[in-house]
Amino acid sequence: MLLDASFARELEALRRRLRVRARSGGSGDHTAKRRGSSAEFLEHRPYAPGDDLRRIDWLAFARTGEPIFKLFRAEEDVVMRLVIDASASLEAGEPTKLDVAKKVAAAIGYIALANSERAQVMAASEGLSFVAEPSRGRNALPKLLRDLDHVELKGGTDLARSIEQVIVRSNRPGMLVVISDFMDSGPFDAAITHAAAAGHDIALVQVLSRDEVEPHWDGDYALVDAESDAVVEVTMDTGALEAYLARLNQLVLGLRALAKKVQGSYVRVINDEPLLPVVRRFVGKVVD
Amino acid sequence: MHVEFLNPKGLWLLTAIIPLVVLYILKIKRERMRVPSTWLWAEARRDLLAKHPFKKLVPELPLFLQLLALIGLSLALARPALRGGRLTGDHVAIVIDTSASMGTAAKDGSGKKTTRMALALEAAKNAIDNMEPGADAILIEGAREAKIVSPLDRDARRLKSSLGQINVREVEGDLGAAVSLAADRVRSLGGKRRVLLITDSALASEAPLVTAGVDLQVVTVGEPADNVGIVRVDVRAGVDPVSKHDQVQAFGMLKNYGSTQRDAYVTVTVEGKKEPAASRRVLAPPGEKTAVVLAFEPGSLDYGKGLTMQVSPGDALAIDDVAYGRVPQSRKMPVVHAATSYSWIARALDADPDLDVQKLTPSQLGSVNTDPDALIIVENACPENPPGLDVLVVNPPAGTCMGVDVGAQIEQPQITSWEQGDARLRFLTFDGVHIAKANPVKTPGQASLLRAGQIALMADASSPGRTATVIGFDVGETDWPLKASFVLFIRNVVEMARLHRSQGTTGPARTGDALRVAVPKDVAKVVVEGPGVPEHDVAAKGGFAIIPAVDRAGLYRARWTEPRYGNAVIVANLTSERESDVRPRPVIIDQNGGVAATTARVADAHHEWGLWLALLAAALIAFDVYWMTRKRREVSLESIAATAERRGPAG
Repeated sequence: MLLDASFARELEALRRRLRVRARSGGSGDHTAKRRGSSAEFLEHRPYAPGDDLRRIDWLAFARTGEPIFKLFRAEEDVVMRLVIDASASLEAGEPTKLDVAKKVAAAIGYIALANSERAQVMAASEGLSFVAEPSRGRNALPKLLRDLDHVELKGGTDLARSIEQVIVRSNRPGMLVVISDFMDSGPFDAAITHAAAAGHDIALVQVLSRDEVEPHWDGDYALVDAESDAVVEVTMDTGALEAYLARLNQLVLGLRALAKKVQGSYVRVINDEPLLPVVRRFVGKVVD
Repeated sequence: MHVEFLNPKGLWLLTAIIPLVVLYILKIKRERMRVPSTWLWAEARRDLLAKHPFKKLVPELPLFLQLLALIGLSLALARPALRGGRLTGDHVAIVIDTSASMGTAAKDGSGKKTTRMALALEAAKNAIDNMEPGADAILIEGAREAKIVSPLDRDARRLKSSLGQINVREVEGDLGAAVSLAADRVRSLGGKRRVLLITDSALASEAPLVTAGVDLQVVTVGEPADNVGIVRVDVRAGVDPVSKHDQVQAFGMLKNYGSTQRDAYVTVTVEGKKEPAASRRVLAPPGEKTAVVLAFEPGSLDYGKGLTMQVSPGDALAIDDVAYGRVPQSRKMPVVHAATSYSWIARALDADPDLDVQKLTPSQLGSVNTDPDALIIVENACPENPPGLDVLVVNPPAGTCMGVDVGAQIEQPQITSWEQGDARLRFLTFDGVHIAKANPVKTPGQASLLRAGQIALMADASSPGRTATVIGFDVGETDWPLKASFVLFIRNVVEMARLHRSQGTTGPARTGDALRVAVPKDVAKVVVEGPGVPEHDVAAKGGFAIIPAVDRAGLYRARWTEPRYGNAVIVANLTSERESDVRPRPVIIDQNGGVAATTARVADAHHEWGLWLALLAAALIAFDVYWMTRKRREVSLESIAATAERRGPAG
């Protein structure tokens, strides 16, 4: 089960803490910087021909005799785009990293929907392999969960291409949550930066398995790449493990730096740890 | 100073490197494991480029350690040694043993065949090279006699050049004189003094080496070797019991110093002939002597020729595999009987068919040609310098005869005792022999053979190479001829002369000794040649010529032309039981002139460092075992990240 009732209750407490810079343009609960038609007063200005007569402040007109046009702040919603890495590398671990990624996506999606935002599920592998229609409101939670169920492991990873496709498909920016193990040998930094430049609020969620962060293998192994079936023969001695962990650490530090660069957040989640702290860190927009 | 391997076979262990490396390059059967991504393992991968069935050899600490250990172990087994080492001392006397045993086959550090002498010379070169700066050295060779090869010299080049003069001498060694000479030469010099003796330690002489306070360093060369040598040879004339023809009987005594039975052939070859005259297979038990008798019928021209007895196949020491002899003259023993009348002695001689008696008067001796090997018997006279080989003088006149004082006549002396152990008086008794009158004979410093109380009636007047007997009474004035003992006595004297004749004019000569050649007394010059000895003149006087000590065994030839032509073959043999024993023995050193100290093989001719290599190899193996079985350091992402944090922000 991606989301149980007790977890949902805990998420309720967190949903108000979520702040998203990006606005997606639709009417929503989030006030926008631009002027609009929400109930929040912004300023007065003299009437100009063509203005909507319904926005004339008649009380001010009565006092001053001059038609005064009343401006309000627009209220816009946020599209929470949940890009889940569905490459074969997320098959690892118990529970699998994909399951954890889906749970994280469900939690974040629930928060979005509970905040009357729109949430959209996308699956990324060597490109966007699945794109669900965005949905809004608490009533859309079942759809969100169904969409997450449709996310299946498929092929290799090309995060850069997937993110570029997300950018192209997005008429308005929103919050882009990339949930992946980021074990992509190709460069995806540029695509993330590009997304940030396009106005997306970036959140990176790295899902790792316990074996990946604390490898305890010993002996001679032929490591088979889950995505490419490439074989690497490794003798698991201290030197080899140190080299591996150094590389993993480099990846983590790179993601952290990338998150800071795009003023986004970076959260790392291990497959066997509870999700609530992870979501708490996510809404706190921390950089792990 | 150079490095050599005392056991080069140990280097074969280096071939184990091949299977060791093969073990490492052989592809390991690995467990397949699916991982999310392999690109994180890029730094850790060791053999990504593996090719079946072998993989590329990648640097592995265990392999490196094991290779080093294997090389170290192999070198340790090969026993590397630093030949020479620093030779301390301001004045060094280097004594090189040149006795026959130094000709024993040996192997050098590389396993190449050589001799102990070559090893000794190499050791001497090393010693010279490693002398302390400013030190000088004297080179002395020691065999039977000591000889200075090079005086004290600082010039290493000259000293090494002098080593070229040193060769093996086929003589029984006695290093005592050489070591004493060496000690004497450096004792009076200031500074540190040292005698360096280079020997195979198979010393023939058991006498301790006396250095009288000077340090003696013994360097041994060569390894123990089995050897069979001819330690005694004797050639006699005999009669074939069937054909009754002359027969030459060559007796040889072989001694096997080895630890296993030796199967060998002993052959006898007459000089100038290719085919052996006789041959026999001999099984020589280890550690025992084996007698061998080879008999053959000599040709008419063979008498007096040289004869070679050889053991084949050869062994470690070739010198003692050959011995030399001389084909004895005809079985008929020449006897010159100089008497004025027919006597009992003449009767006894005539009764022996194996005698060729030449009858002369005493005055004719020296003027008539006689056989140089003849037994000379003179009655009632005393020749001043009789020719021939052995001499028996009977009833000489009062005075001096053959160095014996002949006293005034006495009446009826009673025989009281006689030398029963003397070969001439063997198997006979003088009991019941009565002497009417006799002239006492007295030989200063020599025992009398027959005595009447304090009076000597028969004396030994032998000199080197000649047995002489003086009887102080006329046998015709006694009843001795009526007894069997008289015939026995004459027979004993003849047989002794026959034995001396079979051994040649010089008797059994050994290398290292001067050779004495009996020549006619009026010969003044003898021409001598032999193995390694070019033809040269030797002066003769009084019927003898003395050839200086020879150091090679073989057949030497002496000839003279004036006043008449004559020649003789002289035989020189090593035949030394001690020298043929080429097994190393403890060198006994008397450094204080009193107490003899026994030293074992002194090994500081070289410094072995195989032990250190073995220890190093053991340490490497121990470290390799530790490395391969060590508890792996716990590493985690947090520890790595923490380390990265400490180092500073990531780029």
